[in-house]
Amino acid sequence: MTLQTFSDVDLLRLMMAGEEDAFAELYNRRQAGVYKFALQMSGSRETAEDVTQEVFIVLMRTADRFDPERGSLAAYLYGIARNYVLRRLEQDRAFIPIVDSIEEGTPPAMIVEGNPLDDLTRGETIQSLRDSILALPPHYREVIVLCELHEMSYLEAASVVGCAVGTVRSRLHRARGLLVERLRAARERSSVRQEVKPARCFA
Amino acid sequence: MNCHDFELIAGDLSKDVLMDASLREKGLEHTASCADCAARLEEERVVTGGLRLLARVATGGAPANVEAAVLAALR
Repeated sequence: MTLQTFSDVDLLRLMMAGEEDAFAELYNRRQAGVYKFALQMSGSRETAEDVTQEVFIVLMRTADRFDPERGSLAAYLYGIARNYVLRRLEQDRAFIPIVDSIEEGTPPAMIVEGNPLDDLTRGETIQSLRDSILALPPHYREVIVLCELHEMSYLEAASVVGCAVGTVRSRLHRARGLLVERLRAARERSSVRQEVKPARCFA
Repeated sequence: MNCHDFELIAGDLSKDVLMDASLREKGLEHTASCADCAARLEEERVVTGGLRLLARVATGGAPANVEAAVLAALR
């Protein structure tokens, strides 16, 4: 039996008993989600790295505080990450633009071959959407990131945020409404720019 | 269904999630007679499609130096 087959809770118990390999397995299993969450919340790789490091250091120091009755270990880690991200956002509002690539496993239907205009439009929409998410107030941003980008259930997201399920639902509804408004405004600005024809210069 | 009721279900409609069949039908019927809500549904679909794409964007995980720092703290 290898460590890969162990549950998160079993790995945590082994880690608390001094098994470094168990902690390494837990880290490898959960770091990408924590890092991605922190990156999507902050827009900064530096912040995402710092937060990921802090989350796992906190875990090793306070592992006994985790209660499986109250939620999954993943949700517990996201909860720690959330607290650190919000603290960092308070301290530093500047962010670095993210350069990403689409995962190899993207379904073919999402990539339209031979239609550069569609690709361009899609790329602009994605960038506009990413900017719009980063511009949301943090309490709306976090439910979009958790429920829409990490596909968490409302119950799991509520456990991460520390609020009622109904609050997650209503914040998500409002957050989506804000994204619709921002994308509409971005599209209107873009169409106005296209309508403005450059004047000929005879100088 | 009126525009206010439609606004409450527009997000779910755009996601094609499981929802009450009659509610879904009423919502779609409403869009057939209300241009504003039809446009709203299209905008919700753009947001839903964009979020689904963003969810698949690879971030690659934390770099190796983070793991090294964490493991050093463990020792």
